[in-house]
Amino acid sequence: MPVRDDEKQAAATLALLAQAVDKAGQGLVICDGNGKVVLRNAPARELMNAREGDLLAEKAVEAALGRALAGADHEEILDLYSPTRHTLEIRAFPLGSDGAGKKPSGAVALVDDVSELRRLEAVRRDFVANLSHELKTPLGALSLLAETLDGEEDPDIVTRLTSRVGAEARRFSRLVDDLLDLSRIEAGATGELAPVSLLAVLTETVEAFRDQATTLRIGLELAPVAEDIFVMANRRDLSSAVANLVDNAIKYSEPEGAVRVSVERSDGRAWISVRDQGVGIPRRDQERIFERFYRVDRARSRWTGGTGLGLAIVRHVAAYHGGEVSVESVEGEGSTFRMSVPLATEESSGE
Amino acid sequence: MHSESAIPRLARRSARLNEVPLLLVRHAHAYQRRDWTGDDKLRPLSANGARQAEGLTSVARKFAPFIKVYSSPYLRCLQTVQPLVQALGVDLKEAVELEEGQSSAAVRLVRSLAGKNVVACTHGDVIAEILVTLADEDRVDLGPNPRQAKGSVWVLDGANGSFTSAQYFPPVLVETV
Repeated sequence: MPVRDDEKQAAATLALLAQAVDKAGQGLVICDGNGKVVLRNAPARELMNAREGDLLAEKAVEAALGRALAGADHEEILDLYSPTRHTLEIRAFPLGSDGAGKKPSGAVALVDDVSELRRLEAVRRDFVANLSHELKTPLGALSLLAETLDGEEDPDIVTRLTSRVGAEARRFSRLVDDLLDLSRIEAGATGELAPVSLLAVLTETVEAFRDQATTLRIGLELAPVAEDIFVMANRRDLSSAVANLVDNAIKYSEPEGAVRVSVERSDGRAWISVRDQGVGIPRRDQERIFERFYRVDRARSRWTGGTGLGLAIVRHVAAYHGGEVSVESVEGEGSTFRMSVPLATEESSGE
Repeated sequence: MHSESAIPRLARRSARLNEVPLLLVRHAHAYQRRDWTGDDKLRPLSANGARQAEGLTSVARKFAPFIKVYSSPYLRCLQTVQPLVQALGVDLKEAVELEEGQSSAAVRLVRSLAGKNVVACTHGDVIAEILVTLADEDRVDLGPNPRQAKGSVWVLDGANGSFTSAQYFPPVLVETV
């Protein structure tokens, strides 16, 4: 009979629709005109799975549907702190209302877990605030120094102030360079990885810092390497990461201290270590030093001319190479940074 | 009724009740070095500088009472704070840390005065050093285009060795009698 075919068709369509809404990325709850829930898709069941804290989510969705049944769109953000901290966005709309005062025949609530979005927004906001401050400070310094120089006639003072202007300009330039590097790496514009000789990278880097270390009376050595190790890397970024680690090790060392760079092979990776006998990093800061603009000692960072981005660059370089970076440190005894990079296979190393 | 800009400022102040303003003053306009043959430390204020020094009292009065006025021993600094010292009856202390060419010693002195209602008068190079250090280390916001004209005042809010905010007051000219 045609009617039965129509019913079958409608039931099949409904079943398909129910499956389709289960695949949706957001939670969806539909109620009838009496407020009775008639459909709850899989993400909604998951988001509001009756764990203790989620009873609040369930109640909030019910309330939102109630408001929608009363004829008004509803939108709210719900912060939940238990069992885990997360944030839901709940939006509810009346259904089957002609907009001319007719009671809705149902309502739909859409539920999104916006915790990650919120976290990323907070990270972005912090970054923009930090960046704005970091850019403004050397520019403010230049502005103040320029005003002091204006009309100054004492050549000694002019020389001193000019040198400060130069230092602030170099600091600004380093900051811009590091920002561009970080932004390029974060955008994934890192180019092809190719076999790179670690011995060459480490030797070049250590030699590049030789004069600086000597001036500061800090011993700098590359531990003997029995056999060269080849890694799959972007040579420029790998060199930049190692240079950042060596630069930090020197800056945070005291005179007569020693910085030692070494490399070993283990678990299909090369492990580069940079060890210093410097001031060390308090335990509470060790987790955060790889964050952009996080500084343990702002006064020291000011004198050493750090941009606050060096370790963030190291972390990103290690990550996109498929490696990692970590630190072990004891205050007053020194720090050891270890970075791993996957080895090149024998074929690709061209040996 | 509060102005729009005053409301957040008052709210910020009430959130930091233990904070006290410190006034960092750049000495007023002095005779040019080339017009002065004597010891530079004794180079006096110009007529214009004297009017700025009078004007300083009107700005500083808003933040009074002060427990002390610190000044670089250079005559142009001492003359800048002289009308203020007399008008408000505050003790004056000469501080070599605020002399021209000082940097870390001046920062240390100013940090030690954070949370004390004082005036500190010094030279342009020292003020630049102090402000940039506070921007770097204390994350004090100096605004988009910080200035430090001769005879100007930076009001620094702080407590316990550090500062949280800074506000610039340009020099005010008041006719001397």
